[in-house]
Amino acid sequence: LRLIDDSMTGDLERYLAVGAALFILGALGFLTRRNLILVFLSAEMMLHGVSLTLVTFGRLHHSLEGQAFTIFILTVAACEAGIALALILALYQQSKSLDVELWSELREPDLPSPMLAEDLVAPPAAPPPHFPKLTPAGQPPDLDGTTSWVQPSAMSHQPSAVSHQPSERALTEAET
Amino acid sequence: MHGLGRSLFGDYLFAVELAGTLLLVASIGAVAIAPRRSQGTL
Repeated sequence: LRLIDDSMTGDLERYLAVGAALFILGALGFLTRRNLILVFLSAEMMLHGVSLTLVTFGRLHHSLEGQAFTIFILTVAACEAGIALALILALYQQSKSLDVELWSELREPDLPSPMLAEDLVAPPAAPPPHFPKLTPAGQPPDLDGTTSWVQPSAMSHQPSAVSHQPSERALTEAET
Repeated sequence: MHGLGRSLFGDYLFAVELAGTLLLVASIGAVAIAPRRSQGTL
């Protein structure tokens, strides 16, 4: 039984080289990237490098099992892509960012964070809400909208409202 | 190509059915996991 066709060996070596290059590039991207989608894309590159190697070895042995198994690999990769993109969408809606460092609480609890504190990217803060300002009674209305009507009585109400919160928090802590 | 089809739907028929079921379950799971579309976002 002649397993290796000599005329095809050069092409098959090139296919193996492409598969290995795909796997190595995918592994490097998986280990270095911090974007969730790029990490997922690198994992897909590693998977397809392996499946290309599988097809090549199936061709080398003159059997169809490599191609048949690769079709199943593509099926599982499609399932994985759908679920991973849904998960990425859910994570993005929670943190409004695609950085993987925001989801690093899954490490061991006694180990420090692998990233320095100044390297961490804070999620973008929501813009402050804009409230309309009404003109007080007895004054001509400001048609330009440039003057903000802040009365000293309104300013004096705010510290009293703030000062209620620590006492309530102390009460709840005392109860627990 | 002829041999591949005959191999897929002959020897691996149960695996093909299983892969189709897996695709169905995965698509249903992805729809269940994905967040709802809110106003003005994705």
